[in-house]
Amino acid sequence: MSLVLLYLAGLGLLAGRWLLRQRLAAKPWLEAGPAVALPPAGPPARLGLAVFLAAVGLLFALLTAAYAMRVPAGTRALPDPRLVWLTTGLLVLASLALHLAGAAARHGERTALRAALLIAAAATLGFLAGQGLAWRDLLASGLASPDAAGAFFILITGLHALHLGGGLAGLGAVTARAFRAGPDPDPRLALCVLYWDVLLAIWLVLFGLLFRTPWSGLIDTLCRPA
Amino acid sequence: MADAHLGTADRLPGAIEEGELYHPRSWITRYVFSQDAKIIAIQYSSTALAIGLVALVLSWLIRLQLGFPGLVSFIGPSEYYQYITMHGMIMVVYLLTALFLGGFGNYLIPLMLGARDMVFPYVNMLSYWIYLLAVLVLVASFFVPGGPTGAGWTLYPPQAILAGTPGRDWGIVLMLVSLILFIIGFTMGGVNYVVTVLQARAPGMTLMRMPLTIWGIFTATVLALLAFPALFVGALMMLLDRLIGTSFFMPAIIEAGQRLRHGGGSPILFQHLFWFFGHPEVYIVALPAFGIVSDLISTHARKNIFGYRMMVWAIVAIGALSFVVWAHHMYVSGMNPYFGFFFATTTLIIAIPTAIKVYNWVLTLWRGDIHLTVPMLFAIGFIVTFLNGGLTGLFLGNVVVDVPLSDTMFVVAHFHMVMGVAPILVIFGGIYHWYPKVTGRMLDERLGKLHFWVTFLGAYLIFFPMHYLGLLGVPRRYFEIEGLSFVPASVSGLNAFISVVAFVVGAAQIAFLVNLVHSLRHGAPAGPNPWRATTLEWQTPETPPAHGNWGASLPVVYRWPYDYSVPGADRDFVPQNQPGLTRAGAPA
Repeated sequence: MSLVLLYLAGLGLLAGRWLLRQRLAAKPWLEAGPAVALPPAGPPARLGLAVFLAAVGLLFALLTAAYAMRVPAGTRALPDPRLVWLTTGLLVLASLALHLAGAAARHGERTALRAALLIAAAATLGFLAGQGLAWRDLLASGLASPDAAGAFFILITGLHALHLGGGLAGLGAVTARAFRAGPDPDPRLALCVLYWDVLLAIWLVLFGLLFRTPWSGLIDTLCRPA
Repeated sequence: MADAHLGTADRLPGAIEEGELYHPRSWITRYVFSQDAKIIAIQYSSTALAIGLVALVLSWLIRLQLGFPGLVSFIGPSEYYQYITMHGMIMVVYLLTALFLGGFGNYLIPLMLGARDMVFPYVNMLSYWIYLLAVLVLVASFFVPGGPTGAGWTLYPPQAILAGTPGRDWGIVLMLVSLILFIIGFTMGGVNYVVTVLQARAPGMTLMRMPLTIWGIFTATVLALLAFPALFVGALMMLLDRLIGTSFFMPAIIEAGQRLRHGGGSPILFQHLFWFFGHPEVYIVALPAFGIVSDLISTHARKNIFGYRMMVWAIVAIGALSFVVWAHHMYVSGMNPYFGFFFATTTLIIAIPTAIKVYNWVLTLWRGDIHLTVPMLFAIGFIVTFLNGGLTGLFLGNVVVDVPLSDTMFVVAHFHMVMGVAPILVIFGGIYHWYPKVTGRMLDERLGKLHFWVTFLGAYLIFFPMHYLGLLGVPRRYFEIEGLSFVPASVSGLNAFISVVAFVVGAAQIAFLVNLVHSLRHGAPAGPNPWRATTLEWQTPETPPAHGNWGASLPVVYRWPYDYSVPGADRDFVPQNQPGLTRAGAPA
């Protein structure tokens, strides 16, 4: 539960910092007059995505809390960890490739942009395929184990994969547009970069929770009160 | 239909991209698959009211059984549990949440902020259709073998998915799927509301010039975006427990001599997830009501809201606090006494910002020029009812008082007062207030007053006696209470009385529906601003507002929304988009 509370506290700090800049101590009844200020600039789609990702982050934070409450400490998920290390590497690669694509788009290098987008899409597909292999192993061994670690693995990684799948649809549209000749940069590319970065960060937390990794101790400390 | 285009000069960051609105090309895209927030608002409201009527009929059936046990043959224990479950879930999620955020939110956010539409109109449309799908899945559960789930609206496992609970085969699955769909649909709408409030406000509309209605809806939307994921996770995990035999919530169980394949699950985990959603849900419903009632009182008392800043801060504070009180619903589930102490304390602290709001409403009325219009009657009815329900909340927030009262009719009385009747009164008040803008015609006042008095007095006659029943120890959720030694015979008389009143109050809602339909054609023409209100939605060039809301150019905001009875002004209200105290061309 403490990771959830930390997450909420973080969101609360962000919201509080933002609210402090909104002149909440103004006395609007004394301040009739012309327009004071426009709302902050910035593409609405990016803000919308950020708001959505805040809710998604909480969804996974709640899942880690549920995991910590239900699964005994020290239990790890069943799939071959080497496979999951490989898929994790693919997701990191996808995220990096998207950053490169963003840089290529800024510099107008169309070939590099196309290559980077293809690498990102392929790496993401590879990640999903790897997860699929892990699920196959798990489903073959049955889900009724009393510690529920396998069931949690399916649930958590399944939800994560669903979110990535939705992102792939967006990435597909961006890639298709990059291959059609279009002079203007695609604003949706920046959204993809943000989306992949956040889903990678979420995955690293989940990975540390479900498997033995160098940062698992930290995740356990955060999720399981001593 | 005014095909308004934004000029480059007044383009806002959150305005529709490429400076162009979506323009419907056919009747279907204009009125059915519409991307106009106003149409979507009407779709949301009609659907919510329709499913609410189902829940109303269910409450009649519940009261029929409680007041006159055995009178009709078709209500057995299973049916009774199904009725209470569906009544509760429909009212809380599919009526109140959808109507406040999907209905009022969609209609009022763009209009009150001076925007042309929501920022993502297409997503907004999807939001409604997924909501409708969720409602249809829910309704479908009445028609599947075994009927809807009878697990109680909290759906606690393990009983929710065990044999013996009505609707165990299909009902619970459809219920969980419907909730998951609802949450997906709501998230689409919620992202829209938040970004629209943050980025699409008209020039001059600072946050501290927003009407309290918008503050309430905005904060409630943020709460909902953070609370619904918990219900989503809980529903999904229970669905897996039910369908593929995982054991997230299911402990080892022996059923009819057979050991089930479940084992090791934690029912308490579900309670945590459910109430992590469930408590903020109370404020998801209450905060929009707080906001709307503030605007109704100020407008119909011709007086600025008392303590606007405090009202804003209190809304934000209540929203933040509502995330650290959830376990007060679980006192009897067993917990570390220090946790109980913590949650009781945070629960009582919420009373402070809430009390500030109640005082401020009363002080707004103080020496106001009170017009007892129908919306005002409902607003005042809300204050009284909410205060009543809030006070019993202080009883139940304390562990030592809650434990004996838990699962009695006292709890039923409390939450019906505070989050049933009170928000519904605001919904009615809001509909009477904004119907003239939505349709261009007034609702009939005599029917409205009849509706108010029967509903308001009736609600008290129904729920006030329930407190006494609860103090006597009459349990909630019992199909019949005959034969319990601690229940005196007089209880059945009181139950019969409550039931009769409930039938009358339910029937009085027919007056409301007749009024809604009849006034559509035959109501008195309203004109653009029948209540002489200051907020932007009453200043649109057309009534009802056309597609794009504002004609050629967006309004410019010069003042806060509560300039009523300003000394020196030529009218007793100064619209937000009026630069000086006197209108251009009016005698100084």
